[in-house]
Amino acid sequence: MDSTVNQKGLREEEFLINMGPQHPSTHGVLRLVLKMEGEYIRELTPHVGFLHRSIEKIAENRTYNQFMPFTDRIDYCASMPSNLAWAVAIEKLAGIEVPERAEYLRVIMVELNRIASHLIWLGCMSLDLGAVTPFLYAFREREWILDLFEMTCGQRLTYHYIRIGGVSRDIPPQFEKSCREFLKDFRKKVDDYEAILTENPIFLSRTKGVGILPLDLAKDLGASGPTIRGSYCKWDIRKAEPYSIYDRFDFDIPSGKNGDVWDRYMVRIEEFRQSCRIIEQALDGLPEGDTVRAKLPAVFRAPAGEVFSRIEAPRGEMGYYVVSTGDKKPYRVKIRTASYGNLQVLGPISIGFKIADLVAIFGSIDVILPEVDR
Amino acid sequence: MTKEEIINRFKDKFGPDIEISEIDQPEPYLYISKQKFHEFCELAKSDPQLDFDFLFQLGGVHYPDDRFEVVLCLASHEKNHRAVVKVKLDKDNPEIETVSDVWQAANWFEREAMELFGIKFTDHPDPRPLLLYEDWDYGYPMRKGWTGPDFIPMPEK
Repeated sequence: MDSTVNQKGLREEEFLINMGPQHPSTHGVLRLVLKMEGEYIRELTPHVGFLHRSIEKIAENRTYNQFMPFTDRIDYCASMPSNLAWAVAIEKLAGIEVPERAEYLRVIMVELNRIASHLIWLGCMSLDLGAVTPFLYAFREREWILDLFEMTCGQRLTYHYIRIGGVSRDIPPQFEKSCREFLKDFRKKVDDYEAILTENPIFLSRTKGVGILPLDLAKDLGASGPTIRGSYCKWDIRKAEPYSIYDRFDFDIPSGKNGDVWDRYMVRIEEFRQSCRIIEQALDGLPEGDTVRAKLPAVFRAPAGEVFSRIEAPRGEMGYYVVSTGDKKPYRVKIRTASYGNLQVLGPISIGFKIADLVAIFGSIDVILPEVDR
Repeated sequence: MTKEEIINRFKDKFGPDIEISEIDQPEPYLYISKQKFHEFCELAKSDPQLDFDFLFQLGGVHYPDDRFEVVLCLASHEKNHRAVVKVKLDKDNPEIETVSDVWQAANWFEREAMELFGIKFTDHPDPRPLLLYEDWDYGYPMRKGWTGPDFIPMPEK
């Protein structure tokens, strides 16, 4: 690398730093090659693929229903939305009518999972910035959600609860009471997180004005979800292109003003509250019903054709492009995940910031690596 | 814009180079000829009525007897409409112009399609492999009929 001598006679040069793949703040196996000038980042190159499991190829060798458990593993922090994305795509392709009660259960589960996923983000991001308490608080509340999931489907991480045509089983009788208690409790807990972080001077100095993402760049690079909403874009697939029954619920789309780390933080904090509102409305409106899954033939064959559908996962837009030839297996499945677009943003917005800020920026875009690599 | 309006808008500009896929979905599905592909993408993004500012995904599809396809799912934030654009490529020598200068998001999608399908995107700014490791030497795994060095097929019942 070139080195120059500055006015004081000291030698200046750019140098490379390798960050990851086993770095505690990269949350998974991501390797970043940083070109540094002193403490400032001049260039950032992400290297991904360490978790590549070729899920798209696996999909071509499995039937539509067999592929559902693999979708859990695309984004394991938010398995329910990943399940839902596949179910919605195949239902759109095959024109399957989902029972009313199942639609409400889906919304409840997906929104609970959105809260759980954002809690992981909150805990890990604040831990990276040196605040240990929110991490413990966040995982305490997440535990309650996992208990709710466990009583519903027996799993705590990869749920495989949402199926093509509905959900796998009805909720147990004690679910509703526990869920309402959680919502009541959680609203206060969100205020607690805000009391610790939002106006905390250390947190503010680490996040305000750091990692500013202009809106046109965000759109161009394919960013979505809270990452793009932080840049003053009120865009949410749940409103813009309502899938499932999201058009029946009353909720707001939070958005930031400047597109910095703090704005993306505030968007997610506000999404906690909005998700609570949606779950409450869904619990109130939950219809009685015997069946939670549409009747499908034992060997399900989707009609020949193509489909492109997308949903709003916790990290952004997740969707599938599926080609079917009328066989029991899909011909081609292209998985588009939110982190794939969001990670591309990391390079351009980190330039000019210090390496310590990179940890905050990376935390704020909430990338999950198995989703990028698939 | 509705499905018909999008199709008509494209037909006005590219008449014979557009071929509509009859697929019963709310979005338009269409083929564009390989020669006009880049021009088409530029128009799709810059035209104020179409305003496809968001490249949702770009990926390859392999039809071994016939062709490769590159599929783009486009969306617009302002207009809230979508379209699926496909382009047919030669089955032996798939090659197409990059669109990463139109949507930067295409950069990684194209790198992925290059290594997994062997579709060549000419003038790509950064044609390194994305997901596979550096010494990968077993061909293009997403092509139909590909088998790896230790691939064991599922027994058919």
